[in-house]
Amino acid sequence: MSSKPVVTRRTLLRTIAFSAASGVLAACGQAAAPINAPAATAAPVEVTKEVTKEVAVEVTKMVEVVVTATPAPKPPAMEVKAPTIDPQPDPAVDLAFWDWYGRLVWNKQDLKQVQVDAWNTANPNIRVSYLPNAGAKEKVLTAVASGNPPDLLLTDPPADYVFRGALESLQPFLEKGGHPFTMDAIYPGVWKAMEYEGQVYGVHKVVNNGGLYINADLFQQAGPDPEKPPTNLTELEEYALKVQQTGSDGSIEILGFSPWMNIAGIWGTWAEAFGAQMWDAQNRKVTFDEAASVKALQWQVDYAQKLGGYEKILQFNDTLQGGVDPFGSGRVAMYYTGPWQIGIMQDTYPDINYRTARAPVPEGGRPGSWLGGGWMVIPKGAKHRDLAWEFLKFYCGKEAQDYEGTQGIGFSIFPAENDKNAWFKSVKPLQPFIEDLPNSWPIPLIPTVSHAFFTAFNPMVDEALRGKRTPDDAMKEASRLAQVEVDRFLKK
Amino acid sequence: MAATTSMISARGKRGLSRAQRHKLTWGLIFISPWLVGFVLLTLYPMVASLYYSFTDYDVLRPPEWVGLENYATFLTQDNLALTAIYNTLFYAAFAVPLGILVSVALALLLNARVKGLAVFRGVFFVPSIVPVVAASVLWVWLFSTRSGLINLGLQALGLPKVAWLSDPDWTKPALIIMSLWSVGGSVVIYLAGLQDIPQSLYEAAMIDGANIWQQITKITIPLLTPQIFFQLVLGLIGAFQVFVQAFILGSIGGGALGMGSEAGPANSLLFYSLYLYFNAFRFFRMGYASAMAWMLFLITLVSTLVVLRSSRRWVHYGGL
Repeated sequence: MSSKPVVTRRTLLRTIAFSAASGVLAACGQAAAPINAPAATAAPVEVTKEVTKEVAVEVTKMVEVVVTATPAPKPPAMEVKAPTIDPQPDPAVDLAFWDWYGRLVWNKQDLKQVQVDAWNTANPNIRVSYLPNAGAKEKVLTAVASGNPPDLLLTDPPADYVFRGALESLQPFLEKGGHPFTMDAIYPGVWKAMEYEGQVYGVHKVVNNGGLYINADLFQQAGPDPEKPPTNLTELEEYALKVQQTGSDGSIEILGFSPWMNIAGIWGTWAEAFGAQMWDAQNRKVTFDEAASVKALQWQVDYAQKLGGYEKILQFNDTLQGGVDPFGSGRVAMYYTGPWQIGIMQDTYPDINYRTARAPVPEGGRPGSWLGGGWMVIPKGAKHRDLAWEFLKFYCGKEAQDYEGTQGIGFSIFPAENDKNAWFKSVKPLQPFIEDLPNSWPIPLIPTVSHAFFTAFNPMVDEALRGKRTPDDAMKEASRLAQVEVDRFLKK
Repeated sequence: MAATTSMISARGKRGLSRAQRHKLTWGLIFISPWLVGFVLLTLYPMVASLYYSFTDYDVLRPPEWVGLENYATFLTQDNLALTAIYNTLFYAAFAVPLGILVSVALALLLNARVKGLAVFRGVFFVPSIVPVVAASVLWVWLFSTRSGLINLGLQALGLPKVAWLSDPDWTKPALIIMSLWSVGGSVVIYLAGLQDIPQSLYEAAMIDGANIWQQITKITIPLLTPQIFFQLVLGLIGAFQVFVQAFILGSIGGGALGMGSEAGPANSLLFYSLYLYFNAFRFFRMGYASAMAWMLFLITLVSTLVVLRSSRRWVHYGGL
């Protein structure tokens, strides 16, 4: 070893092992993305028997990792093509497309840009400029009020806009036909989420729903079979208590399940799962105090007690490190979140052995979860409404939904497209989500929905969990408080 | 009235020579960037918000006159108004006096003649130039129940761990502790005040046999009262407006209930400004938020006037 070592033995081993593992992978016939294995540019080195043996060990290890890690191959390469609108306007028109969402995990800005680019290539005289992180509500409302809104907006639940008259109704466009957005072609929950009092104001672009992630290793250690996920809340409770681990000081080390972590509990998940409607559109009444909603809260209160108290779970939240995923880091055995978690697991926590299951609901409860994703809308007073609608038809159409869904781990709003999607079928963790899509529901369509949850529903759930109110009393008060604002708002 | 006006204008005409008027015109032209900015960006929005506070206004639909309804609703019907007021008063009642106490004590220490004084002064000043957002994120880590430095310290002393950000009884104390970290700015002002106290007074006191404690309480503190007074007023105004820290600590470290978590567990970090912000930019109740802003202005004004009034009794300008 007197000469300069160009390649250390370790690097060489890794290189050979990696190339070999890639070979194995390719042989498996997986739809893996092309792996650019480091080329064997290493200087000729004498490979002794010992080294060969070590290579074999490394290869075995890597193959093991590859095979036992959760299968989540990269989606197939896809292209998206936009139709050319004929005739093209002359002079050219610029359409502004604002996106409320910014750098969220599941908001694939780059994918959106690809679709916009495809449109711009096909339509040189209808240029769409895509602006992510640009749709803050106060900004959009101000823009609408001043008569200079963007032509297109991708937003979160649009109730705040709809009931203020800030959006163009899409009904006239829909009635003209020539589009795929019909009630029978779209998931019922998605259609419901697009319609306010008989008028469609926005078209969903890619939907997500919630499901249950299970840490298989933690399950196996504690007893429950990860291949048999809980099918109802009773089983969920049972498993949660079994897999939960408590430290010497009595604090929770590993949490079984929290009904309030991540997207669980937001927008009244549990009340809806127990069958509550939360809003009576006909009489314009907030119905947080339905029996099902009270029952859901009672379940949460009881569950918190069984786990050692609500405060204890909150304290556990406090022990999580910012920026570290609680499920990925193995601190939570069961986790209620959306399909984008699959991407997080794949990119950041590939070693965690997990399974997914359909969203937990009570026995005899309403299967499914609430639907998330963005809505494409045309703000009131947009200058190029007709052209905006043309873009919307493309952007929310079958091909673009399929493209963004497949590449970005979300789903098309058209069930037929998801059923046809071969890649979805190949990714096992996605199945429970797809199965639940037909049952999933929109978030409550209350006109003052943010206010109702922030000032009424959530604080009252919190008070019940802290034992300050009975569930019944808490939900009555939540209904009353939310109704005051709804009445004030609709009176105008 | 007409007589007064004509008198003033007459005096104005007589009082201002041509050169003076010329100067005035040019003076106004030179300060016009500020004047225009003030009128358009401060005065007009203030007056407009006063008008909106008597209306029901949600940005898109035209404002509708409702008289005092917004004020009445806030004071009698809003279940979160009391929480917001209580949280804010609690914070002000502890953060302001503690802030003064700590910064005066630090200034006294930093005024001592020791080696490396400049370094110490720098060290204590640095936190006050750290942006609030960055500092807040940093404090979320420090307050972490399990691995936060503060709890590790408590544990080393044999004390129980505190759930700083998840126990509603501890979130405000956490915020108050955090506020003490950035007293560097006021320390500088106290240091300047300390340098202003004539050395001769201490010499005279020493000759009279006064010890250090007596010197501090009889000379230093009384002669520092103008600075304390100044800091008290600014501190009160700042405490009534506390927003960023609560917003960040509430949403990062707070409770687990979805949207509710932005105001900390059990809304324990729902401060007045935060609630105002939610009303304006989450619920788009602009009229209501304007009314809240004017009430905050009144609360601030009254407490400042009370402090001003009381200052005659305890602020000494040393007669120098």
